[in-house]
Amino acid sequence: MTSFPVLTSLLLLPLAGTGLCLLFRRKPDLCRALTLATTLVMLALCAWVFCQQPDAAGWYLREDYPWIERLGARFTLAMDGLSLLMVVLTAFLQVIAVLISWHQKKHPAFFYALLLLMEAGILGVFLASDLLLFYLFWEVMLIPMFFLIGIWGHGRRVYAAVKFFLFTLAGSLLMLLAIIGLYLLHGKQTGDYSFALEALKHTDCGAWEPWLYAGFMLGFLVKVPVVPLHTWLPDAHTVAPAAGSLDLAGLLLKTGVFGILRFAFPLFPQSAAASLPLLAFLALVGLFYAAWCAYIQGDVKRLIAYSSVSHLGVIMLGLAAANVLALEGAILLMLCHGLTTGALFALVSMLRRRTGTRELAKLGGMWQEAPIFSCFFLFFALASLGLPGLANFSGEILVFAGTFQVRPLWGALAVVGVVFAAAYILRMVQELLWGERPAGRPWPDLTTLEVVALAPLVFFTLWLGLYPETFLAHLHLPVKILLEQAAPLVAAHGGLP
Amino acid sequence: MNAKLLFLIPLLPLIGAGINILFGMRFPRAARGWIAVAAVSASFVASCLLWPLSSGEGTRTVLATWLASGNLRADFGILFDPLAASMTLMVTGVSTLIHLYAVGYMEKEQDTARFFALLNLFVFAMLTIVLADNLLLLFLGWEGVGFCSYGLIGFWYRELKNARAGQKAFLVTRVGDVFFAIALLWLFSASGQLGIPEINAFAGQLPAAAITAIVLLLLAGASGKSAQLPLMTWLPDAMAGPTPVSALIHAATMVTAGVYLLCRLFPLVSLSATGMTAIALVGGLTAFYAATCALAQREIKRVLAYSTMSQIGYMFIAVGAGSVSGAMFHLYTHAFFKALLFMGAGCVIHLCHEENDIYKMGGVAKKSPLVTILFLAGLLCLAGAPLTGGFFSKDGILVAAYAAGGNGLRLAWALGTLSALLTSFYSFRLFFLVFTGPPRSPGKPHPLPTLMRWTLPPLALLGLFGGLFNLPSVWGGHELLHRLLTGSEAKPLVDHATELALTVTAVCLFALGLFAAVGLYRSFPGERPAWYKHFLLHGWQADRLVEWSLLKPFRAIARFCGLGLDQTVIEGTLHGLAGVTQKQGDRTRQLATGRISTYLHGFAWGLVLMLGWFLLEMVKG
Repeated sequence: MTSFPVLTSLLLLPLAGTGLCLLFRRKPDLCRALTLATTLVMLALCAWVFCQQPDAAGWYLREDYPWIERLGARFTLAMDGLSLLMVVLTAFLQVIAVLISWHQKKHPAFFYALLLLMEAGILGVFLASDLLLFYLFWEVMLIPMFFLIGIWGHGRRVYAAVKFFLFTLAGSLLMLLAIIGLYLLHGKQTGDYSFALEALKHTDCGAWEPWLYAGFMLGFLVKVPVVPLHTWLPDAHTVAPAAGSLDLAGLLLKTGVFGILRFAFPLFPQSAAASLPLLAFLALVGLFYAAWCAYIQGDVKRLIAYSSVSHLGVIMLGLAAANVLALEGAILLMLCHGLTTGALFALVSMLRRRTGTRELAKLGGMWQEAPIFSCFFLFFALASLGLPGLANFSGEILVFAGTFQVRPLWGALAVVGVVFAAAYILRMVQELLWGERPAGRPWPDLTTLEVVALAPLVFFTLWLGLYPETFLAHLHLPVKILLEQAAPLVAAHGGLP
Repeated sequence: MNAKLLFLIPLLPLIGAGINILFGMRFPRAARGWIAVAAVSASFVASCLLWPLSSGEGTRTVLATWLASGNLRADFGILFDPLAASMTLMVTGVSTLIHLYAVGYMEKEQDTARFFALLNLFVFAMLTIVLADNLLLLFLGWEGVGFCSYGLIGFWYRELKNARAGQKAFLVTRVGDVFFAIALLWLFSASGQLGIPEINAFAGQLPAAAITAIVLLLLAGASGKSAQLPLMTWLPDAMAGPTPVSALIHAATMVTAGVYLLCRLFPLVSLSATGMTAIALVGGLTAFYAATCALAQREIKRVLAYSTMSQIGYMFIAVGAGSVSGAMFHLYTHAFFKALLFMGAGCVIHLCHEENDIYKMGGVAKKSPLVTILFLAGLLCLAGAPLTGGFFSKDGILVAAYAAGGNGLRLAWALGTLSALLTSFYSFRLFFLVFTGPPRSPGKPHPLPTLMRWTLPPLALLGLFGGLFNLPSVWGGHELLHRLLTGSEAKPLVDHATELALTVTAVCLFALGLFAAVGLYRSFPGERPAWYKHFLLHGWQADRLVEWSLLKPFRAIARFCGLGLDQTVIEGTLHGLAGVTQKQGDRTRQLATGRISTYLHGFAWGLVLMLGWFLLEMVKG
């Protein structure tokens, strides 16, 4: 392992990029080039880490610096297989985000600066191994998204931005309380006041455990989002700009699931085990409820937003099943969902730029008009409905298999969800691509730049579908360790009713 | 011989599809079709050359791991045993002919890159079903054919009706896929295996109830793909697709995937007597249902669609009767003559000025004697005319069902026998309405492209003489297919006299159907609407039943969730919460009046509360 602080530079690079963008805000072209360069360098760094081997405890890299010594908070970053995959996804999607907002007209410099700031925030969430540091990044990541929606959004953007902010803030305040509670309990017990995740894992919380766990979980579940805490998501997506939607679906939602796996489960294994039936129930309800909601939507973007909630239901079910198959499947599905749903959102914003509307009722016959666009759209739609050989299927089938091993009935029920997915996806494809196109101006097909932005997504969707082993290989160890640390989860044997 | 070469068989069509997807738009139109033909015919040649690998237990080979996690492991693996090998040969062979036909058929179309890419992709997916050595890979093909048929049925997407038919096919078959997937998960969680030979070997250790449940789930899955009751409604509508698609997907290959699945897992399936009876009954009922529907159809391709459904019902009866070779035999002969009939129907429609309605046809015999003879050959096979391939395969199934005994099987046999009569009748009804008499609608026939005509004779020969592949010993044959698939001599199922009686019955029923059709349709009887015709024409109103019992509630719940619950209850509660917060905020703000006395009040009360709390803690401590 090198002594070069890779993780810290992963955080500092985008921050530097943010600074430079603000500095050169009068030269949008330069800002854009800088942003792209930054994201590409980050991606290269991540690719380098991806090729490394973890040590015996599962860490690829660890960096630890003193920070707020009086509180016992340290600047600890750590990367295991789980965070590695999330970081790689972040770095990858952020390149795409820059590409699809290439022609940003409104305050381009600030826009790119915020994109980079958000990247720093999200990466911090995935890397922080100190609870206070984690909380800091958790809040940092909100602010750029708030502005992205509030300034660059369409329609009722302020309403949606405030709603997004309030929901997640309410959740994260509860989490902050829980963090402080845990910190005090641990300090009282051991005399060592510390926010370090590894130390806090050994805290005996006694009667407080369910409350602390609930505090953490509420923060995360809002972000996932789990029905009925999901209503901020469709609104946020409806108004968010393309890159915002991509980041929201591809990355922000993943931070919730990631938080559960990294913090909530290992910190409070007893309560977690007890909560699994409830989680499974919420997951299944969400899966079907959101699918039904998606089916009836008239706005393509809202439809995809609800489909996102439905997919996250599958992921949450995987978490609730809590065995090797289901957990690996759930994490894999996070990657897949990030790619496919992100791509769909990108495509929808390309659509809107051409047609000026996202109302299915006013659209149709796209294949005639724009075959390349339609080809891409169909491809990602199929991936989203779980066609084997494309990304989502690999994750879903693992979740289903894992769940079925624990509780057959719930697994079987979840499988029924794929018909629902087919129903709303095919309805969307039907009304968008087929039929005659409505009268009006002709729409141009995708530009080369847009194809360039989408092609890598196609490539990785196929890769994840056909050879997920590349990514699963990084997950075997972290999932094993997680299940060892949170032994009650296994003892509860999924705990589903 | 290198076993890895087997991967060429499915991959060649995939490569063909890839070329057409990526570059097809830039190629001249003719090139697209020929790329597809080249890919499929190369695949056919490969399967011929690699045939020796299938001898004995067959060859199993793995290219790479697809998915591995925990104890789950699925490979890109091929199991090339006699069953798979013979199916591969049929699929690639018939597909090659259909692709050639399609080149002629699509001469005038514009968007052919999409068409030929999907056609090749379909063959790839079908071959994946046939060759896969584990259930998960089989499932990849299984869903793959579902998607390809979606794309191909809706090929002329500008008419929403066509796209909707494709959507229906995808959705209905996916309902079946769910059952298959649950069976797959069940088998995996019970045995920890996904490989087909492993599962077949393990099956004996499962409890009997579980086996029955799994077999019923597999039956439901197979019913979806093979258009059997109750998941059959998509097949007639699927005729919206171009005719080569109907020939390839809805006659020769995809719809037989269900039968093939049950045969592939036969060691498992055969362990459940209940399951076997259910399979036979579903087959028998579907054979009868579809045959009655075919009686009243007016579109030539819909007649053929219902007849396909009915014939696959026979294959299900065979599986239920425990005769894998019987099912596969009928599958092969049916593939030949049904592909022939569909492609012939394409020619007929061409000759009749793109007219689909058989009541408006007539007189095609004079327009093209060649097509007439070929089509008649197909119809004779379908109707089970003595000595044709269809006769032997259908007769074998009925004998097997009769011999199997048990009430369920007897009922299936009776339904099958009755359907044989109906089949003969509607086949000749079709013949007389289309080919004889004067033309009933004006219009000059389009000239037939050469390729469309000359791909039919090989199929006609295969259909007519297909009986030779598995000629029963009563007729002096050696039951080659049975020996190939089972590796053993066929034992006579019933005594000679019974078999003779059954055969004579079959011949009589064929003759009866023929005479009835001659009596009623030799000259055009005119359109005489009747309620029962209407009922049969609409497939016993199955669509309306599904609409009322499933789709309406589904949409109602969707509206309730998406527009009702989500927008009012959940949003309302949250807005209410926000409102309460705001109100509390306002009330709190009123406290900030600036009057010192109010503040002092608050301060005093707070102090009292805190002191009280401390005191309590101290007392407790």
